[in-house]
Amino acid sequence: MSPLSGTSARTGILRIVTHAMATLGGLAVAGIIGVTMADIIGRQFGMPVRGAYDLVRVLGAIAMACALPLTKAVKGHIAIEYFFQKMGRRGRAVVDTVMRLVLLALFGLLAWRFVLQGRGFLDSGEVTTTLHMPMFWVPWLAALACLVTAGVTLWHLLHPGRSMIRPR
Amino acid sequence: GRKEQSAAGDAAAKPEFKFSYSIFFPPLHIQAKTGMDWAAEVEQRSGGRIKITVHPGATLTKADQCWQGVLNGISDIGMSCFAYTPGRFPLLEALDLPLGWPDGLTATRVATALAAKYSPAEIQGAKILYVHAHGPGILATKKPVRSLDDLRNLKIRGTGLSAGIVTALGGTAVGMPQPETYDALQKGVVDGTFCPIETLKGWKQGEVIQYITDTKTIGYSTAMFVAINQAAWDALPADLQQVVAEVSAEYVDKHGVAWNQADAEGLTFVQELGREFISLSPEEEARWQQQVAPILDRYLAQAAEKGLPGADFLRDAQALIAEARAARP
Amino acid sequence: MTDLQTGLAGIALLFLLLASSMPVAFAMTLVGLVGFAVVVNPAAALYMLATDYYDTFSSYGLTVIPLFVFMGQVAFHAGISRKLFNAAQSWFGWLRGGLAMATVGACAAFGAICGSGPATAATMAAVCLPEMKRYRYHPGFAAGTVAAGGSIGMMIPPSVVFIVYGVLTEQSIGKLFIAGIVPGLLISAMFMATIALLCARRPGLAPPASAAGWRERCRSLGGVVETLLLFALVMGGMFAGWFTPTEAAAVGAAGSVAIALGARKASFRMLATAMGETLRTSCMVLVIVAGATVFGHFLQITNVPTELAAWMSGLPLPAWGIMLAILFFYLVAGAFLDALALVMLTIPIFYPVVLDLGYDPIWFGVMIVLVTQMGVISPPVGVNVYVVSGMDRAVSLQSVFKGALPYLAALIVAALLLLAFPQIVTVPTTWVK
Ligand code: NA
Ligand code: NA
Repeated sequence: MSPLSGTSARTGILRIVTHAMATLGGLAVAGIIGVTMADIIGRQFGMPVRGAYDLVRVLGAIAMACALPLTKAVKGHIAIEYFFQKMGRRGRAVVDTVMRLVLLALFGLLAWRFVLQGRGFLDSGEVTTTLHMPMFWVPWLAALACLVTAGVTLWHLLHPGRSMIRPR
Repeated sequence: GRKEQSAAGDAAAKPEFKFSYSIFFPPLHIQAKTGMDWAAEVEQRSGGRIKITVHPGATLTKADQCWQGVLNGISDIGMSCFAYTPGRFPLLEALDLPLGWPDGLTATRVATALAAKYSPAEIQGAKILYVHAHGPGILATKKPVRSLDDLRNLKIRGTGLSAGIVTALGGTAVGMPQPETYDALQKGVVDGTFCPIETLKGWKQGEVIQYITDTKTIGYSTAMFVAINQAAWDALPADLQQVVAEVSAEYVDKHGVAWNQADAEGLTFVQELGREFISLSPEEEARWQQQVAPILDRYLAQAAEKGLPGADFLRDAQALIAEARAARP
Repeated sequence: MTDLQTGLAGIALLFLLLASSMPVAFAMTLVGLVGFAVVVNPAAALYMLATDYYDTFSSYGLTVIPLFVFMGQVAFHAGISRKLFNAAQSWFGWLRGGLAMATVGACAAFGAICGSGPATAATMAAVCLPEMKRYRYHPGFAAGTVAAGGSIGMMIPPSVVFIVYGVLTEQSIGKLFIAGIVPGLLISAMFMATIALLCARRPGLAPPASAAGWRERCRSLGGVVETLLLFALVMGGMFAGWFTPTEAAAVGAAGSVAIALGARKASFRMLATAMGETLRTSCMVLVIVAGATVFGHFLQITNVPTELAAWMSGLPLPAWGIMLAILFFYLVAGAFLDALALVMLTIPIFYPVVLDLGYDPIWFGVMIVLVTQMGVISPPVGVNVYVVSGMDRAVSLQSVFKGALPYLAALIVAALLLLAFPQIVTVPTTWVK
């Protein structure tokens, strides 16, 4: 019945983590709405949300980073399929495999670089503009998201032609 | 010589050192143009041995990535504001404080001198060639602000340090990017903005405000570095280092004069628009200074916590400002 | 290899990767990464990779995308947009392509509050696409209409491109905004005419409905109230000066939830569904923006766009010939590069030339916006097409590009019109002080 019937425990964990990150991302979007509304209403009475600008940027980064695994899992990134569809079955299998291996490497690279970037923020003491909030953990969260996305890409590599999570 | 050259600056001469230079100012902005002139001058005086390709308008690195971009070799040379990466320059941050900077030229000279004198650990990985800084921030508003009481509960655009000043003065700070400020002032999302008077012309905000309060007494500034990657610098032979250093020394005043000129043009722009200018009384100026004093105290406390000579730095800056003020007619 | 050759090789590699069905965002990222490593060095390229992604994700201006998408999703799931389109259908359904025309009209109206083309496209895609589908419009035609319609928001003020142009060239932003109104309306009208023409030639694109009676028409108006409320909240609040255009996105999102709650149409499940769609759509868009940034930085360091532009502006041609060449340049370069980056790169080169030729600076600003409008729907890198295609999985990318092609032609005609009759732009700006 389910497109995922017969999948392993590892797939289960991957799906749970993907959904958990998406939930966090959704909360971050809700947070942007909440902070902005509170700021707009508050400043009419001289009580703005201090650093609303900073908060919106950080929440936006959290939302988009946490959305990465979900977007990959539903194959949400758009591509030009036209020429690919014209290839033979073998050709498609080869191109598809090579492409997914390249993407796997790319997400690995991104995860590694995000770790280093967070490390850089930590070492230099860089903080947000108004709230002076440390930011090193935001790239680290993005690194985690990239690792999970790499996992999803691996799943797609091992299960050709299927989406890990079915798009609605 | 390592290469045969027919004449200095011969276009056919093959450059030995190729540098990229990222500037966040839009290409037609006077500070970007001055930076490009600097690059051309370096090329020419190096006899074509150095070639610098300028990428203005933040097309290579964004304003807040410029310093890191220089450290990591995205561009070899960069021009941007220290303030765009808060926390990264705990000592040099003092250059932006509301110390009553009298004008851009003074701020530029003092900033370059102090950055060279202290050369703190926070700039490791790059060599600062020179620093320039804009003229004092003024308060441009839609309603008249003649005293601190008028400012209470006004919504003023400001981010980072200027937001801190607005809050310290009892106003309501609203953060937004500079490109949105025109629209926000026009529609009344904010009642005013804190900026050097030059911005009122550069970003056209003079069109949508009515009053300008002279707040030079608490004038803050924004210091901007021109820095080269340390490895790129070290790779230059001594004679070329000499050339770059000489040209840089000459361009300190060119940038400073350009800032003063931009402020003068900004002033003319708003005068022609018929905006009203408000001066503060000496008593009122004292009140304003008192209000922003905690910002200086916070800087001192944070620098002390990190074991940095913040007190010395601030004292030097204040002495140089007083000296410049005294020298004026 | 010279930098110029590396740049051209990079463009060729991008084409190859795109054809291999690699997601557009990652194809651009990869080419940019490898190219930058070749021109500068691998360490710098790797550093840039994370920075460009992080900077896009934490961009304040881009947060409007998830917010407007969420507003559209809630409006759709709560049936708010459905009622609106029922009304549109009962009033204009007898007209062939009436819903597509209504979509263009809605895009123009939304453009009056939103300064970003992709955000307009995302919002309108969430609201209009499901409805046009319900009335059995041809999927590629419907999606192409939304992608092209979304670009009208760049011409109708407020507009980010006008602001950037105004700052670069020291022209009055207020004047530029005013100058955008007439061409914005003209383009809307031309898009509607395009729809009428297309539907006349291929009736299958938009099946007509039987004409509704006046009773039904009047009753359907009740369904417009909720949309009007939302619209009044977002538009009115902006014009009253309660919030900025960026903040308006949050107000719209909150407002749509409030209306859905008021109509007892909001469940936790519905909001979660809407949020899931929002996350995946906006992540798709932002990753494309990040990829375009990496690729753009690579092209920037090779100097390809700058050198090409400098060469073009020196061509021995009459004034209108140079102008045509410049427009052609933007049409081609806009196919690959993010519009704002392109404007930043090339304005300093073209602007003095254009002034020398005797053209009006405000008029040239309008032309610049027009070519960036073309850029967001022209293949292979057209952000609006990506946005819309990502929101409707049933339709392929190439069919959305195909659906947008007639509108690209309309934009070219509009450009030629403005070139022949610059008065369309210059005269209205003199009416206002
Ligand atoms: Na608009
Ligand atoms: Na394009």
